[in-house]
Amino acid sequence: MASQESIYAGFINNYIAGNLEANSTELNLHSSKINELLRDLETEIRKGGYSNSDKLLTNIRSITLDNVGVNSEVEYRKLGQNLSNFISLIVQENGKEIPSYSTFLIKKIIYHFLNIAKTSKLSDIEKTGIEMADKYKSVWTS
Amino acid sequence: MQAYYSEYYYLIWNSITVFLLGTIYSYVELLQISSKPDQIWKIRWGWIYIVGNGMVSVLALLFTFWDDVNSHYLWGKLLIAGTSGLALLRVLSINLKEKGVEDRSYTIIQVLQKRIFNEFDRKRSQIDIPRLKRIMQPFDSHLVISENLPLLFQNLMRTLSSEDQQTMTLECEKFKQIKEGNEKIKCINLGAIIARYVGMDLLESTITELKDYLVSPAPNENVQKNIDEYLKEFS
Repeated sequence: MASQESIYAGFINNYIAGNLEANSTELNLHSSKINELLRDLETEIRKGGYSNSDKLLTNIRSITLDNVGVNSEVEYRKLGQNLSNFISLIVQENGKEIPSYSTFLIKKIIYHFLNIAKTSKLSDIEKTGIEMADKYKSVWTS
Repeated sequence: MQAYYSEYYYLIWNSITVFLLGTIYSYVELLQISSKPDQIWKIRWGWIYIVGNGMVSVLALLFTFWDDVNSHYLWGKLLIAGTSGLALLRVLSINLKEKGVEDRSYTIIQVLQKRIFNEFDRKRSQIDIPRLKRIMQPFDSHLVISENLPLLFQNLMRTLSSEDQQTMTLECEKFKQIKEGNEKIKCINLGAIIARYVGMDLLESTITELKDYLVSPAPNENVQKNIDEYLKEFS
């Protein structure tokens, strides 16, 4: 007899859960890469060259902690939002003037997040990834 | 002696009558699982269900009016005997364990019907390669199938369990990671995976109806294109 859970309303969650589980190796790889890059960026911020380094450090530490054990759509969504806010914060306080190695690290973080967005196939995460990439391009490559 | 034979003759005919009453009733009951009446006869448990109901009606007759088969109000008595047997099957219940679920009480008839539904689903899902090849013919890329069909079928099928929904998506997604192999064969393979869960009939009718949409580019192709371009640029 079919499970009582198989109601119409639940199908999309099961589809998403199946998709994330099937691609969990790839998703974990990219989220751990983002973690490493965030740590490198934290070291870079400590070295100086930022007008609001304390605020940035607090922010980046919270993202690194949140990023540990990411494995659900809610957490990927949160990661995207946190990264997007962090990039906005850097741009807002420092504009284009940040060390070039930091921009390289930000670019790589966006690259790995775009991979997560593509693999997860969740449209709002894809949208966040594209927004981050657009922001990066408009600030640091224009 | 003649009276004895006459009673014996009546008993046989009355038993046949209540047997038919039980079988017709249960056959009509089983029609709810299939719009094609002849499919019921292809299921072993369907036979057991129908004949079993008929036999229970006969037993009810033998336990009640067996020595009173040549009397007034005979049709009324046959009707009472036959239907009381059927009613008994539908109220007696037993406790059954189900994986991941607490003990639950089912009536005997529910247990039998569960068997029939399972067997019917298995029969319906039996995979016929020439038919599968014909159904999957419009597709040249297995990606179109794995990206669209699992979600579509989960939407269409209310009876697909939560576990099956996830496993179907998981199997289709894992299949996407296989880079080698002929695309047409991959499409047939994916068709076989999906047919195991939803049955050949639903697979065929859905693909026939939607093939024009399924083979054309997906509406979110632009977002995908942007992501692919950015991935190249940012790598």
